[in-house]
Amino acid sequence: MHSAIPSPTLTPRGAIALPPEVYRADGLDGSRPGLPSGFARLDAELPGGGWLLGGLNEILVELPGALEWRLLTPLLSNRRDRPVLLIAPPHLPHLPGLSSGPLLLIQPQTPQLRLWALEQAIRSGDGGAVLAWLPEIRDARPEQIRRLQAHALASHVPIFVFRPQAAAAQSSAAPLRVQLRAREPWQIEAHIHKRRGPAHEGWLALDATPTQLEPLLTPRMRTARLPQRTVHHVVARAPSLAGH
Amino acid sequence: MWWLALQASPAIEGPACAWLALRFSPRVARLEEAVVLEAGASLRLFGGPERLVKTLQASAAEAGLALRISPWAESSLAALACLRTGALTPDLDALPLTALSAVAAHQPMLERLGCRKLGDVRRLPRPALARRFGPALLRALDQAYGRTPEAHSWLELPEHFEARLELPFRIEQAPDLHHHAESLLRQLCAWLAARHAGVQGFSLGWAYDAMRPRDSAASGELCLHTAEATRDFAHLSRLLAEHLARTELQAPAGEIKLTAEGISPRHEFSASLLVDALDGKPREALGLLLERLSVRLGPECVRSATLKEDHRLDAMQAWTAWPPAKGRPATTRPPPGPQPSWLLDPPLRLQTRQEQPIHHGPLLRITGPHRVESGWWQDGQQRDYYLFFGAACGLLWVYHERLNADEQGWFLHGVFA
Repeated sequence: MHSAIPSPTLTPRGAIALPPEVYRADGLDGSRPGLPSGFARLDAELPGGGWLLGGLNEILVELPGALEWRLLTPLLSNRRDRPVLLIAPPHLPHLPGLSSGPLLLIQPQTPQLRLWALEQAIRSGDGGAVLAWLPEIRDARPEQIRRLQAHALASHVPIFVFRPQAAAAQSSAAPLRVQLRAREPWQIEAHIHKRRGPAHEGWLALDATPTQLEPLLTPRMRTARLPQRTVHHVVARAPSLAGH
Repeated sequence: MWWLALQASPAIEGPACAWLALRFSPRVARLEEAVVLEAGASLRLFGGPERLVKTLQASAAEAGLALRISPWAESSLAALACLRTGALTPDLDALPLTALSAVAAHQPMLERLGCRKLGDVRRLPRPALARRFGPALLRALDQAYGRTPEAHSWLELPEHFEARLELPFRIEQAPDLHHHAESLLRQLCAWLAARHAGVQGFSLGWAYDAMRPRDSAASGELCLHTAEATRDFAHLSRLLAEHLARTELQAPAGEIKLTAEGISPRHEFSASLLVDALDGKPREALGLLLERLSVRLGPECVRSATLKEDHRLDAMQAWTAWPPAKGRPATTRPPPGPQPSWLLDPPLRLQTRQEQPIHHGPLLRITGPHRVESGWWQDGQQRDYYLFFGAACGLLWVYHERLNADEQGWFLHGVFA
């Protein structure tokens, strides 16, 4: 009886037609196309070839407000026609330095209200993008993230939630979790902590020079690098790098 | 003749149902417990009989009402008979005697004569029927079958909206008013539908009970405004609930009153030709969402920005409460020099080590200084901006300023994030 059923391991790869929502463990889930992030190296590693739609994009950052715009500027400048909702950003956005659609700033006073506002924004499903900051690990418990994710399933707007690096140790219902850091001035490094696909190893270096600084840069500045660890060096070298 | 009979289910007091019908035709009348509507002249405008019923159901749902609607019938009495019996086709002969009030009055006698359906009554000899039961029965039958014209006094829409409701009991907590105010809101939405208009604001007033503390006023009022003209019952009701949740009554309230302010014609959107276009549609428009957020969080917590032409970093934009004041946005030239993407307001004074700023670890100076000297008419800034890089904090826009004769400081003013 059993010998009549062909075993999946014996058939050549790809012979079994999988339903679109099932993906192979060694490949990326391509059932839902994503929004191109503007970084070719990152898109190649993201399921669907870009940022997730219909789910939370959880971005883990060391210090809130250090790298977010550089990561998202290519995406947001493509969606300029719709307003972008910012929920509890760490600083005030500076419009002359940004190339996104109109910004709407929502600053709830308490973490509770912040989650409430975020949930309402996700449920509304309107706007160009929703960006929310939950800078403390206790701002959102895993079940609260799960609740947000459940609402985000039906959304057609990209949703980004910025959380601290320490949240990486916690489980999260967000289908995509990306860690960010910067070790050099003109590059940001991304590590995909969780995705619908195989585990990601190492850090992807993404060239992300702020567009506002582009005309200012000289070749020498492009190679500027933080000296390793010793504070005395910084003091000694900093003026010479500035071209004095 | 194209007649419909409608009734709200569950039945509600007040003229909401009739006002809703007035959106489709001016020939609307009240007939016993239902509202009847003759729409022969406006069928083409609303895309045929089936589309009209669908639109009617949709606009009732928007006004927070559920309607029972009869099938199309030849006369208003026939439509009412179908509504009462729940018949799906206007076949009067097959309906029971209770369907017409004039027949139902003589039901025991007619049943003894062997009549079970209206068709049986119709087949009785007319002169004998008139002699035995009076002219009213025969007239009602003739009108229902469309043999004699009917006369109705058509309802008219009031010019201004104002509705009152005496509460069934005294209410002490403002949120409890919401349930009663909803029935007035339904009337408002129906009235707006008949006017083809939306409302930009309304006020809910309440009169306090006569047995109130001496220092409290005789009445209170709550004024609400919406950014766009709307007649969406669900949105107005949610907005009212948010406002009532933060209102306190000084004394028990005995009566409520709803008045509409700022009626303006509403822009009707044409329906999409493609079915797929519905898929990505937002469930709640952004304007409605922001309105709710600014009620719950406070108007100063939901802001949008306008650009200003200035050389000083902190005067280039103005964040004001949403919605922004109407008017054409001023066109501004882009400011000279690089602009950061975050602004720290107020600037953060950085600690220094050997005259150099530090922030989350050592900083590397990349370029500078960029001198900004402006605002002599206000604060007279004179600042040198530098670009610094820190491993933890990214690219920083830091300025150096002379504070007084012998003190200088480094300030973090922006981040190129």
